[in-house]
Amino acid sequence: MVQTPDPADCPSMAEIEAFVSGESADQRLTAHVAGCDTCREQVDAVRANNALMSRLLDSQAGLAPAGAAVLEPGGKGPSIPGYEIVAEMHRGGQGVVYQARQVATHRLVALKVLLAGAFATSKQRRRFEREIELVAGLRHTSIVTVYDSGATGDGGHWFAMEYLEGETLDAYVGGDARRNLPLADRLKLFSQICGAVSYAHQRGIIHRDLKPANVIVDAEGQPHVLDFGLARPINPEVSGEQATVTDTGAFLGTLAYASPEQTTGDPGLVDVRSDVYALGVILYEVLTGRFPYPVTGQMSDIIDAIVHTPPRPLRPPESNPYRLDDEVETIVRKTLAKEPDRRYQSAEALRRDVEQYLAGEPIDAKRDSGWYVLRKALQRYKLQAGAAAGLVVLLAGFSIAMSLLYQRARTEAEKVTTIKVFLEDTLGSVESPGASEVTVRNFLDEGVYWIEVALADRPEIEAAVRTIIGNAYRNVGQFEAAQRQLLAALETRRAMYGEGHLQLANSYSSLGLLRLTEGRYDEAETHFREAFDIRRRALGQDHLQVAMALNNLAGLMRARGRVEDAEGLYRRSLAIRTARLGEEHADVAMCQFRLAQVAADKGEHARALLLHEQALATRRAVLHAEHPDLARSLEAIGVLHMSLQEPQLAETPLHECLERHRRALPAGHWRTARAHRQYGDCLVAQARYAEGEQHLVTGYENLQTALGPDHVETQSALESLRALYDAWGRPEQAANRPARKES
Amino acid sequence: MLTRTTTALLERLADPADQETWQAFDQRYRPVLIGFARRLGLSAEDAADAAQEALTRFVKSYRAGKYDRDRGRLRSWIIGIAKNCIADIQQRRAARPQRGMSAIVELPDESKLTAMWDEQCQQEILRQGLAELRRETKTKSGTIRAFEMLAFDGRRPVEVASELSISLNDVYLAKHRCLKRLREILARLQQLYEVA
Repeated sequence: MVQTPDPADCPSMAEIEAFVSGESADQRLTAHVAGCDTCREQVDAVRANNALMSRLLDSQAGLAPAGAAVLEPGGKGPSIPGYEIVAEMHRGGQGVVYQARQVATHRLVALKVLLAGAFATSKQRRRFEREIELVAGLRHTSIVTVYDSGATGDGGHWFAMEYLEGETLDAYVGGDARRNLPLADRLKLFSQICGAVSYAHQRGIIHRDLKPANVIVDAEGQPHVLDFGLARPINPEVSGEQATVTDTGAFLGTLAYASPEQTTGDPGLVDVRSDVYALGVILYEVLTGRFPYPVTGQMSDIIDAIVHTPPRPLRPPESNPYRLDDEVETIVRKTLAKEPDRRYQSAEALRRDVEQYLAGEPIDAKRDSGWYVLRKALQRYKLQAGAAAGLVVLLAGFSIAMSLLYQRARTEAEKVTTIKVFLEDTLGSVESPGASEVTVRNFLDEGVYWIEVALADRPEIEAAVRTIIGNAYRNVGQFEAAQRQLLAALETRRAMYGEGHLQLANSYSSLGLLRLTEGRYDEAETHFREAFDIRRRALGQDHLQVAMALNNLAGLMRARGRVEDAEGLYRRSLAIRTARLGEEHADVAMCQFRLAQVAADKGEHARALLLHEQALATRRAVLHAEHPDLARSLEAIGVLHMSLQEPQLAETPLHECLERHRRALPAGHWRTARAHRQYGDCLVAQARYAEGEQHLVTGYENLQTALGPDHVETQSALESLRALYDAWGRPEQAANRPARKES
Repeated sequence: MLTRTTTALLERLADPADQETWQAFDQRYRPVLIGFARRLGLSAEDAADAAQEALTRFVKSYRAGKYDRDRGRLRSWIIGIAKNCIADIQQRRAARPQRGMSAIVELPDESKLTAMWDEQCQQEILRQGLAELRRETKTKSGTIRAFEMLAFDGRRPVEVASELSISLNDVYLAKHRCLKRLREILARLQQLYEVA
């Protein structure tokens, strides 16, 4: 007979426990349990519970795996002196993060306890200990502060850091709430991250494992980078074979953010630029929600992509189609350059460019890529002193043309790339054991050949490059070759854009300069006027390009001796430039310098001196300390003082001019030689004959070597020497001079 | 919290970019490996080395397609790798004998190793189950506290009752609730570790 149990009669849990353990032999209880389904279940449960309980108690005794011991000493989390564990926050492959309270200060901290196995070798552990001390010194609003660290009893490590509430960067920018986060806000967020990384770099700490999961964005939208310097490279000695960091669990998750040099597994190759690369992947992800290249599939495929695959063109998230222009693309590409040398060289440089972009200013990345090519070319060419000087002139011409091209190409990233490739191929192709024999002309001929084969179907680039080459030929006095290139460029542009297009103005300017250099003034004037008219029509009266055209025309007028016309044109140009650029600008200084020259032409030496002083002051303020224009201003001022019979006032500027040329130019350069002559004249005019003689002799001999005995500069140096010996009363020495010339 | 079966993890493990899967796998087997190595006589540090190395070799050969997905093969395969790693380290130690350390490397036979491995897995399941239990019941601190005093400190129920100022029945109720829940959690974890 089965009784219907009354729930009120059911025994308490204590009674059931007593029943199960046999402590209670209560008949009434036994009878109840036998007839009550609920209680029978309870009894079975308690039996199962007790079995588990004994296992737990046993395990306590036998449970001693190194990793587990740290994490599991009795349910209260690890016991770290000075801290009370509040809750477990996160458990990962490397360790566990707890929310904890620092007893002394009552502040909440995040306590990270690394597994004892977090370090493969004791060397790595010691390095970690050193590093954590450094990291604890970092104080930056966007770096998670590390307060304290120490070792657990059995080889594990812990550190306490700032406790933050927020989301990881990927969750933040990918979350629904920020679906419409504008481009500028994304870039600002990224710039702050760069700032934090840069701060740490300046203190010698490389992160090594930057990824969105290591950036927490708080409720105010402020990013905080964590785990600086804590990524552990795995020592290949330990794994016994040629294992790379990418083969290990620790690294796998972050392979997608690894730089090409990190995939080699050689920790010696990792430096701040590896962090710059990781920032690039993060930037790409923040902007597009995707990775720059595929990061799924076989590991070898991913490494291959990291090492070889260029980033896919930027595309905004579909839900938020903001415009990602060419400049952003350039920043991303430079950050993700495969070669560390071609990346931003610091997180700070990257941050600056992002800020400049946000402020609407030109970014450095474009300028750099041009200069990079030029610098590289200079390193490659082992030229003789004379040829090197020629190349410097040529390269300066190149760099100006390059920067103009970049401005024009801004709307079309591809153009930049093509031109860059062109320059690299051109400059690279003449590299050979006989590089010292290479003349500037060979070098240009290579370029022409390249244009013809490679740019046949890219007329607009072809024209741009022909213009550069044409200008360069003009710089080295190859007028016929220059004419061929410039006319070809003009024809291409005319066919493409039609008469009167702004592009044609550039061709006319270049042709005008060529004709001016050749002394074919009528043609030069026609070309300059064409350029001026086109620009004025297309850009308005007061555009900077119009000012440039005015300067060209003015230069021509001056060459023709029409100084009044020249002066009027320079004044118009100066007015435009001052209005557009302000007083403190190199181009404004150039106009002042030209006006000073015109004033001197007109014999108004005092006014010329004043204008030169103005130009020099501006140049000292805006140009870099070794800029050659500073020497030119000094020379002009010194020469004017000499004309005004003020040798004592000429001495300082002429001396400084000579010193600048000595520093900047190769030994024996004609400009340095001329500066010797000018300074020597100045000393002689003050009756300091012995000093003056030294400079005049040096100047004369070097001019003879550099320009030949018949050159006008050499001849005037000879004149100066004769004048010296006359004034000194030693005519016999003057007579010796021409004789030496023949020997 | 563990939610995916080992079989499901294995399916995704071939994708090196899948950080979550790797972490889950690592989290699941690294402690087992460390405990296994400790039981075979390695120091805490050497055991950690052995586990790291075994995981490295495992994922490498897994991704090279060397894993044969027959039922039950995963265990013997991992054991094989772990055994080699442990033997390597023991040999290195033997080459440079430290105080009191035997120069002879001898590992138990296959069936013993398998039994040890299973025990280690059970240990790990238990550990993870406890962690999960704590997370779930952290708001009811009295309950978990009472349970922990019984299970880990070996205290008697009457002591716990008086120390926590609760009735004896409440102590038993706490014990019952926690263990019942823990058994459910363990059953689920057990399934996750099974390779189907």
